[in-house]
Amino acid sequence: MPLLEVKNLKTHFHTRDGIVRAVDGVSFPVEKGKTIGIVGESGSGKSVTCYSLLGLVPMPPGKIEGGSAIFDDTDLLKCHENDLCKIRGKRISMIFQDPMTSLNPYLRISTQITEPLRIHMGMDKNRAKKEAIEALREVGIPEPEKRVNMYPHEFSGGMRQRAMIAMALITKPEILIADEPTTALDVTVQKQILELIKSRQKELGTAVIFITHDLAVISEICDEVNVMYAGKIVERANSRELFSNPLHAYTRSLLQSIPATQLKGEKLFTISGLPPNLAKPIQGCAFRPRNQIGNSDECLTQSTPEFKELDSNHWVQNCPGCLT
Amino acid sequence: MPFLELNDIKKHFSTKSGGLFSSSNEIVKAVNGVSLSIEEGKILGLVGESGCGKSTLSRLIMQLLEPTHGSIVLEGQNLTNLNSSEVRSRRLDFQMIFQDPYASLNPRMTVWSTLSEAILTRKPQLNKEELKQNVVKLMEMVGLDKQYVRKYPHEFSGGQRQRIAIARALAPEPKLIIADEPVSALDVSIQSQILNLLKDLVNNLGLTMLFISHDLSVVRYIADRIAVMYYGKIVETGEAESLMENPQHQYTKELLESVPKVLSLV
Amino acid sequence: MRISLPTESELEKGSSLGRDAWARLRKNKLAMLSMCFIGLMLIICFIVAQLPFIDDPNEQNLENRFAPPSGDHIMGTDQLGRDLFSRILFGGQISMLVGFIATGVALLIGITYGAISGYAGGRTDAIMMRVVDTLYAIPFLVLVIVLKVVIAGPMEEQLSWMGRFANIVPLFFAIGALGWLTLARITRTQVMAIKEQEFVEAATSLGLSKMRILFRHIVPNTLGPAIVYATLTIPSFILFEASLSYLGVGIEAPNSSWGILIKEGADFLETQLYLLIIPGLFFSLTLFAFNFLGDGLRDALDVRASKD
Repeated sequence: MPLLEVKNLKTHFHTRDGIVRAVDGVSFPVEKGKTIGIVGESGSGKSVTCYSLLGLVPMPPGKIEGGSAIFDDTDLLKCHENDLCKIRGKRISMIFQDPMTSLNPYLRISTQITEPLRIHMGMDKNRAKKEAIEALREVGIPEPEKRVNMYPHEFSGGMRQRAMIAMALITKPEILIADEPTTALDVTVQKQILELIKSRQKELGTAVIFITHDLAVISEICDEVNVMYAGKIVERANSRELFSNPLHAYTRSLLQSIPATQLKGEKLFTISGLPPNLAKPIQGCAFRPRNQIGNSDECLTQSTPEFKELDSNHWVQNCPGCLT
Repeated sequence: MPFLELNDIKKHFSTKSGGLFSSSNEIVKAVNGVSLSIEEGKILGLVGESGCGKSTLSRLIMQLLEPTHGSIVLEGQNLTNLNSSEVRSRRLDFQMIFQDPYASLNPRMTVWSTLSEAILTRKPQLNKEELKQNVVKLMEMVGLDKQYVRKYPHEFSGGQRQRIAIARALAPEPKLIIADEPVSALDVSIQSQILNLLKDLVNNLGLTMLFISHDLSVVRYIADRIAVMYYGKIVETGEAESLMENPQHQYTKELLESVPKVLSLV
Repeated sequence: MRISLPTESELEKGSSLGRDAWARLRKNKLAMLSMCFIGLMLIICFIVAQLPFIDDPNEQNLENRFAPPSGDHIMGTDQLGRDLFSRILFGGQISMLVGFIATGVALLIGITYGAISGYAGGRTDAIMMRVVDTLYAIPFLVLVIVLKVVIAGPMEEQLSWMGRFANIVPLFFAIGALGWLTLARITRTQVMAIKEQEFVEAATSLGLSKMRILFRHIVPNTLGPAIVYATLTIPSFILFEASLSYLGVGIEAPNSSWGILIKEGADFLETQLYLLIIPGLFFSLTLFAFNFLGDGLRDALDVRASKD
């Protein structure tokens, strides 16, 4: 039984330009202690998916139109705000992309890190502070006793992200959602943060949902990968399988576009065109107009391709044009 | 003679810290002795992480900042010695493409206004017809549909905005282009489109380019030579492929090791 | 090689930020209502007032004082037998003119001053802002009176062609010439933020002159907050003129303004209340309208003033 089972999640935004189907039927399981990656470009719906799970989507204009997210016998999508509050920050935590803005600049680090302990576990200030210092030490911040009293602007970007991770893991949550946590960091700092997440995860047994657009990062850190495009998952498989045997045309196109995979001097493979406008309903296969690596003539034009398990634990949108 | 030559460039910023009456004066050595050269028609990749000084260096070459020390020599002419009006007349020979496609275009100007203003700097004598032709030609060169000429920046996607920015940089017919992280803010599938475009333009127009990025794999692909920058200094330079395969400096090695690799392709 | 140029019809019309803002404003019913109201007021005060059947606002008829509303006088007459309705119309002309002209002057001086100060930076900026700070400290009322006297003298001859408006214009300029301070500060802050943006660096790299960069590239991007502030300045200037007139140092006879009408009406507070209420109503409703419009403008301009 997976720790979290998301089935057919649909989140739409009612905007001036129409109904934007940001997430349109997304299903995936999260197993205890595993790292699930959600990879996609901007507008694919990867962030909105996870925001929907924790009730962080502004409603209006957003609205969860359907689906379920069963976490320990509770459907997160149908939860009352009060119950969600008890889960958020305690059993499911989240860290965000921009370390500059995700910490409150007016509060000391100590106040922010101890907050989950004081609220969710009713700890008293002194004990909470001791735990906070330990948490900072565990994420590799030097001289935590001194630094715990500092303000965010006195930390570097990498240190702030470490502090965020400390704050998110301090209640030993069962799931950690990481939304592009290293995108804004330098590559050497990124490496340290990724290793930190991996090691803390091992020690605590936390499951991690890792959202990113960077395929290489996914490859290094995730056990299972979901590739999203235009609000739907187009392919899911375990990491090794996905990268050695990608099936869907979008996944294959993405892998080919990475400069690292190209020879110098050759023209880079590109995916022509732009992602579809999600305010207009899409008929048939969403990738058809940009499908050059497969055979776009064979792409479905009327019905939405079904998400099927084609190989053992390798799921793909069953569109003939994208699978050739 | 190299096309562009930087000789021991230094840029020190002094920041006054402390209160109104204290005099503690800190000096930030953003660029601390950089010497570089680029041959005509070649692309030099400049790699470094945040805070290494690469952005400051690009502003120095663009004459948007004055160096504290050292000289910048373009086609044999020492730019640092020129007075401001002489600099203004040479400006058209070197242009820049910025990182943020959202901030590098004036939100209140249409594609037409932006491009025609840029074209007229080199050719102020053009009449309306000729100007129209020039604008359309530029748009086609960067792969922009000419029917969008009346649109405003916020109506375009990131990749399209970057194309407009590239068109603007090319409009005054420069010889040197400095591309400061031009694809870092773009999605992967759009990145490759823009990289292809830049490479084609360099080849077709005979441009010389300084390509700045923190992304080693991008730089490896597009640059002929690579220079690695760390804390205001250049720690290593070399031919792109050989530097990536056989790095000498400790920092270069560390950078290369930190880059996540797609496992199946390693 | 002849490149085919797109025809006018083929071109997609772009939607500027201004057009987007206008679209958003149109959805704000209160703001639209306010705008119509202001438009109505302008029409009534300036156009309807010129119609032949409207009485002379200064024509006294001492035998018909405090008359109730009738066919001749829709709103009755005041303490000197003058038609109240036409006095309100002509008074409205003055009040609206004060609002618009004074604000116009303030905008012109404020934006230019603030833009130059913000762009120049350094010592120039510091000095220019200290001047602003100093002017802020001096009581506005005193300065306006002094300025009005100073301007009025030399300008009297040039303005004689304006007829009855002649001795009012100096007042407008005086108010505007001192009300620009906040606009300057607002513009300066905006300019200081925008001049660091990359499109300004790009403009500098093109070798454009500083003046062109400042007024063609930077200032148009700073107008949002300034416009909102200006819409709120108009009512505050009308109010200020009313205060001046109430104190007897603003508009002088034979002109009158809503402020003067209210002052005169206040003398008859206990007996002929309508002399205070009716002009007061016109006055308040117009001020409300400007305020709601300003709110609506702020909301409409706020959202998409920057990138998405």
